[in-house]
Amino acid sequence: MASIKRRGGLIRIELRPEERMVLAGFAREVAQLVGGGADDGPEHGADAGADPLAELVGLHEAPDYPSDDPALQRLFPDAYDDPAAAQEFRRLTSGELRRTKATALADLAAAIEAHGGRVEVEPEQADMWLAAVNDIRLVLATRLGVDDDAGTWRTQMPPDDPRLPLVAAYDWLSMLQELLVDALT
Amino acid sequence: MRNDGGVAAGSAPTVERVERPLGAEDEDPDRPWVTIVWNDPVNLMSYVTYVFQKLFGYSRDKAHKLMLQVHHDGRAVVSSGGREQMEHDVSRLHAHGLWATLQQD
Repeated sequence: MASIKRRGGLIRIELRPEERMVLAGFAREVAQLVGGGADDGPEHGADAGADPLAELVGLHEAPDYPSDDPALQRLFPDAYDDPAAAQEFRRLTSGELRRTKATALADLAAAIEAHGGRVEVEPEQADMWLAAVNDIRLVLATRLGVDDDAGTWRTQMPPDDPRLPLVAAYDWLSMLQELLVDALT
Repeated sequence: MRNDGGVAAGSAPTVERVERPLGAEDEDPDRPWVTIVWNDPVNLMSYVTYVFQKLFGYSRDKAHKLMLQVHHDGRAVVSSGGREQMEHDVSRLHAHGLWATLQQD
């Protein structure tokens, strides 16, 4: 069972092999969904923000959003009610936002895969991973149709619904996120 | 907002849906801008409190109260000031996966 604790100044994350596989797998998938170039490797994503050409590419990509995909709509919500203002805000910010998210997700996946059952990181790093875990949950919640606080979506799901494994993953990620918040607080 | 990480989280049959306000922004430059966080059924209460503390430097008590306001009222003003600062705040909230907008107060 996953364990996340503060040890000295570090956050220690211990995961079982199957937990690592689930977390890294979803992190990579969501990183790919988000795009932003970070799935080519952490250094590409991290450096892209400093590259004027990449910035230009990011600006060109930005008008693709809001996407038709509800998950991407949730990850990159409108900042303004006014559509024109929302679009302008998106044009200016979405490239960097996508890179930030994709980098955190790819970094999380790489660290989980590289370090076996135990990872120890600075709180700042764990904070980025916390946001990444939240992004995975937001995507899964969209796929599962999570639309109310009461959990009606859960009780209405048929027992043979092919998305049931996602429910288990969503619940486990929720538990993992609580552990991360506890360790960081 | 989701209560906790447990499977049985939130059994009360309350459905919270928030309609976002319509209407164009007035262009009165003297009126301050505000950043609003909206309730959603996915973000954990503990996480939202944590994000408010981290991004705005609020005390745990203030962050917790703001989180509860989002949860119960469907929305809360979490910061106010100039438009550029509010855009910055909204961007940081989006980076943390919270549903945030800005508007003139």
